[in-house]
Amino acid sequence: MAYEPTPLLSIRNLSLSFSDPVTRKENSILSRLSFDIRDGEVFGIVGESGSGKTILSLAIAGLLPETAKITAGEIIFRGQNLLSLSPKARRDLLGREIGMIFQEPLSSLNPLISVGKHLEEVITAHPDASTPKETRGMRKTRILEMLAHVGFHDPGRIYRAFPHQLSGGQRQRALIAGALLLKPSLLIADEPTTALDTVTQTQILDQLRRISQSFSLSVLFISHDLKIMEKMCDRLAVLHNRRIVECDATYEVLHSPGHPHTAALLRGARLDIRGAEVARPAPPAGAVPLYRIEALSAGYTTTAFRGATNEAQVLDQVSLRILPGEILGLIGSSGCGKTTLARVMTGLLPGSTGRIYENEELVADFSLKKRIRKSPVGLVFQDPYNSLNPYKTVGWLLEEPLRVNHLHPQKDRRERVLTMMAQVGLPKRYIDSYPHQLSGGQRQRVALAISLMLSPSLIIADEPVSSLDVTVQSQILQLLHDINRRSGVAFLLITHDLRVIRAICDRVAVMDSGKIVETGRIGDVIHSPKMPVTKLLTEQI
Amino acid sequence: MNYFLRRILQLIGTLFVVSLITFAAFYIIPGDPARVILGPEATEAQVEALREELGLNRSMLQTFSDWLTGTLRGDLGESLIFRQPVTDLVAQKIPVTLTIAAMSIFMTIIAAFPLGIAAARKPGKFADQLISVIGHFFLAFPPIVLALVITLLLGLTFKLFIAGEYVSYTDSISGFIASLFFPSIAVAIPKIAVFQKFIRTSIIAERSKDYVRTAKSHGLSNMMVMIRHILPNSLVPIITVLSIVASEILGGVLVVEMVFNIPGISRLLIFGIENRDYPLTAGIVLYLAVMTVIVYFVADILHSLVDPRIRLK
Repeated sequence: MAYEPTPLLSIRNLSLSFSDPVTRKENSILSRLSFDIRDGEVFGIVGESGSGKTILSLAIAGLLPETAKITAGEIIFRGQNLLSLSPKARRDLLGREIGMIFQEPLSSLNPLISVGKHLEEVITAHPDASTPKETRGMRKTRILEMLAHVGFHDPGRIYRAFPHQLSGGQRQRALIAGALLLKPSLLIADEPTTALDTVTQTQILDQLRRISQSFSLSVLFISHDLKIMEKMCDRLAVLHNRRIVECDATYEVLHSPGHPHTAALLRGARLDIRGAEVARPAPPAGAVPLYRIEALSAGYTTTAFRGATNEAQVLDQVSLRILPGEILGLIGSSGCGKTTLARVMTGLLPGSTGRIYENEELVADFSLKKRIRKSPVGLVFQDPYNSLNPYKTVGWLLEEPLRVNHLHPQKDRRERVLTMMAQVGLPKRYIDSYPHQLSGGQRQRVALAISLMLSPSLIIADEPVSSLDVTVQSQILQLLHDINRRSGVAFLLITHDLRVIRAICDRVAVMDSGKIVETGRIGDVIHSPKMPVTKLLTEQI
Repeated sequence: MNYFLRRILQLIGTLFVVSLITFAAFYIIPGDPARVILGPEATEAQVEALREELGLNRSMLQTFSDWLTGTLRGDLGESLIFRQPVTDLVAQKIPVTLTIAAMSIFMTIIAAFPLGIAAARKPGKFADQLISVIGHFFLAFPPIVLALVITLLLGLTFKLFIAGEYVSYTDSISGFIASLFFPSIAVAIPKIAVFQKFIRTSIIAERSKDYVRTAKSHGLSNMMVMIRHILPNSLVPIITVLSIVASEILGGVLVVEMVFNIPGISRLLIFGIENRDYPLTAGIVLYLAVMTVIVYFVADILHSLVDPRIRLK
């Protein structure tokens, strides 16, 4: 038998359940999980939302919410079963032996105290970790060293800074510094870069990889993103349906998946919708555009405390054509003005100058501060959790556009709602369900159905899949694609993810700092990008 | 500095409007101070002569502008009935009122925090429910009823204090405080009931924030997480509510003074209103308005001390 060193962390047959506070029913969340994390390795756990990844990390840390209960199994850390330790002994391991970082760097720091205070707490919470006569100055030196180590060029400024003075990426770095300050042997990283933009994401991940090597740190890395996993992890476990369905070296898992769910995740990550179908032929040059936006500028005026106004120009002379029946992708990094454009087009925000035409007929001239008429544009938002009124049923929500516009007699409306539900693939039985009873994908289907109720000629979908799991993403994109083909409604699909654009769009417009910098057929733009911004975006895929 | 300047301008604006309304009220409500002073026996000519002497025949705007120019010089004028400077009259009585208010605010703070924290520890469990039930019970009492109950029960039945006895601060400071103790409790109790509930809610809301998880992951004990992270963050909304509670307490004190027969500002105020003594009433109202504005001002400063995101601009 080959020599196997004792693993740093060993999870043995771990089962965990939630007890419902009202019904007292036990809901099993994790069932008989077993895996080892070796010294110095980066171990990944991938799974869709709700698969129990985060609960697992909290169980290891001993920070489970009161409603969660470990029903069986052991968590063995350095040969010691953590579940048999006293709460105080477990707490002492946190920060000293086990460090943690989380998904939401923006809200994970106490807004009232400086970064330096946060880090100092880690040291003072573990009194014997430092020599008894360590002074404040010595602590500060250690903290500054660690801040420099996680990539800050001016640790002194960061030490004094309050959280609101730092960007998301800087805050996550500061949190990494806190987690690593006492040189723990295990770092639990729960989706540490999901909330950050792609450039920052790459920097943080590189840093983590480098640090884990230089500290010979073991990392439990949790994510839903296979691309990140491929880059980060030595070994990978796939969590699905409460169990680990596959666990092997990352390369093996990703290149010869042994479980259908892993294969589904990989397919989902590719977002292969069109299959063999190529992008539709280019429309004739003289075609009348469905919408034409001409030199549109817009911005926000914020009224600061007492009168002083602040004007921020977001859109700068944007011109764009949307052709009948096409799917036009609008891509750009966060904050470039994509959503502002959607808001102006739907009439939620006035522009400052520029014109909008529908079928070459003027519908808005902002230079004259005039919107001639509202255009029936449908809207689908990013967040299906918050964009549906939680107190109304699916049927009520779908009927609302007809009701407020006094369309169709009341008795016919329900029939129309049911027809629409069938079109977006929602089973009839959900008509009396409330949004919270539906999954994220189903909610997004409801949102799409609502936007279709008034038969618009254009639907603007603002990041419609970015908060969904990969397998659900491809289902929703498939649906958008099918609806477009079936009913001929045009889509303006706004996203920061070129994979989404590539999956279903005919043409793409690239936006950067409030300007459209490049437009073209999807294949042309992806294969021969002209502008540097576009090149950066194409490197993502 | 800019902040303080703007704050003072706001204060002046508020006070101007408050005093204008007070004056207008006197011209709308019927009643004649000259008649009050001379009594029912006086002839119409005598009353008219006194009206002339007191300057009551002038228009409201003129009276107001005279009063205003005096006030700007620090002179609140003379009471029509007492024939003494309003500032002197108020200066005699206001320490009593302010002491009760300060004691009530202090009691509210020291009682509400432990209760709110205790209730927030395990929401829905026994301690929380008990505090909540008792809180609702006292919340249902108007301060005036509570004052009567305290007088009857603690004063007359249990003889913990002598009902209606008041010791002046010129005689004995400790006796003065002691005689105001129960009136202050009467004002404080309903406020404690409201305030502890707000503290509870605010702590529970903060406890589920992400930074609390971070602090726990750093190995901090529950006690340290509460003291260093949850409490300071919940203070931000608590200070706002405390400033509202404190200004309500000022109003509550006026009522309770009457019930406990304490010679504070409330008797002077009611006397001034009843006898249409407009300089006296306007002076008192002005003092009370200044107090309220100061309370909000202090709340702003506390906010900026607690929260680095708030800068006084």
